[in-house]
Amino acid sequence: MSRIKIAEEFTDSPGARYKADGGFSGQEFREKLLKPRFDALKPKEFLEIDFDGCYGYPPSFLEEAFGGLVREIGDSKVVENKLKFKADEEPAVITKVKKYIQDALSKKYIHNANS
Amino acid sequence: MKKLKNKSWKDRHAQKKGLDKAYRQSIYGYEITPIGKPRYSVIEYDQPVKRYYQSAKDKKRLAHRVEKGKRKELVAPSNFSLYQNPIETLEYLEQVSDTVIDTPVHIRMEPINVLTIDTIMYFLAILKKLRLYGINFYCRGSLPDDQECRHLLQASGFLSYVNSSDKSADLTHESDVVRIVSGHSAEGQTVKSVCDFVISKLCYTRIETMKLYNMIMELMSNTKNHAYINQSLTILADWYIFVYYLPQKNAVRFIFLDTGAGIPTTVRKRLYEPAKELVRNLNPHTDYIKSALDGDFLRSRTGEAYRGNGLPTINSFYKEGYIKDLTIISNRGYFSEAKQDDLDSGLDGTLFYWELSRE
Repeated sequence: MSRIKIAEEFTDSPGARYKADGGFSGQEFREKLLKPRFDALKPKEFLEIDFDGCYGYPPSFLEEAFGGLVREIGDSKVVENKLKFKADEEPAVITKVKKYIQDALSKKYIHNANS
Repeated sequence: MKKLKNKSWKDRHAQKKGLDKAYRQSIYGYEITPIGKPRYSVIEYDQPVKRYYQSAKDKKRLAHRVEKGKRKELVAPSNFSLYQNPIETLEYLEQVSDTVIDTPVHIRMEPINVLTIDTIMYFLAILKKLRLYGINFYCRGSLPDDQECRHLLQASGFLSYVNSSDKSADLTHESDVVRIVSGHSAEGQTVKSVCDFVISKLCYTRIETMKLYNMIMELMSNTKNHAYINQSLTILADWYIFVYYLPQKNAVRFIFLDTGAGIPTTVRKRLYEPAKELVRNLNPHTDYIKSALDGDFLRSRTGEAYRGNGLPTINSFYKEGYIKDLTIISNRGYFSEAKQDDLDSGLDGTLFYWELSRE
């Protein structure tokens, strides 16, 4: 199982949504760490995301990182099945991330992503 | 060495003659202001301790300039607070920004006996906006007589934003205050230091400050998205944050200023079809703020439905009691628990106030 500990490998103070919004954004995390590691997964291998050790996770960061990954791949089920989450400090983060993954390809988002 | 001595002599000589720094520089040919930078976009604050050239002679010179109409004195209201006295304070700041465009201004802060830093942040934002528009202005000021107000002004870091002769103020380290910080992008490191301040003052754990971190980051990124376009010039909005500890209440108070277009303006400009129906009957600016807090307009300027969650997130933290005393002033809207009413004059941007306390 592959693993990303955000506080150690990325930052302990995650930023906002896009790179243009400031450093350590959700987009940067997705492009630098999440997507390459996700693409490198072998069949039946999982990627564990460890959220512990950070000061917080702005909703826009989480949405862009995980919702953005679903929009790139085009299938929320694939992302959901390949990712495992660890957030002992703040378990609510996992609920949010799962929601963003599920909602990323809902009708309204597809419409806006295409427009 | 000789040249340097000569230079400083000329400088002193010019100072005695009452010539300002930019003029001296242009005459004596050193440190000339770069082309394009406004020569007179200067704000100076006098040292609180009287110096020899601030004596009777200097006061007389100022009075003479005021009398001749060369410099206009604008006396600040005694309650210089957007939070407590928004109407009078806004009118005064409007007067300053209107006057400073064509006349050198002297801001008299001596009568102030109630001061909140929101006003100072907004004042800094006004001056910065004037500079961005390329308006040349000259503005001097004096510190309040009231010791507490003067101390707060110095501790806030205001003097580091202006050309102040009060160097001692720059060195002041206040353990109960996080000095005014400003920027225009979402800066995790700044928010992290704010969280560390809360952790040290209220004995919170890092996990307990996670919501605060998320909230401030959302406010900062909202600011980034509120740039507005005026003719051919795009003005990037800034944020200003000031945090201070209240020992009597064992609470930390936050003031956050977003110098963007303001919630009512943003909502009105970027209405989409479903939202249009919602606000058809809503006229006052306060109602726009309330609706934005309730999440009625979950689309920002990008039109992406998954964006624009900042205000509902803040509202949810307020409702669950994580933050207290939430007050929002945006354009003419004034939203707090005690008062929800439109003001007579408006603010360009949005001010957020809230408190965090250990019960």
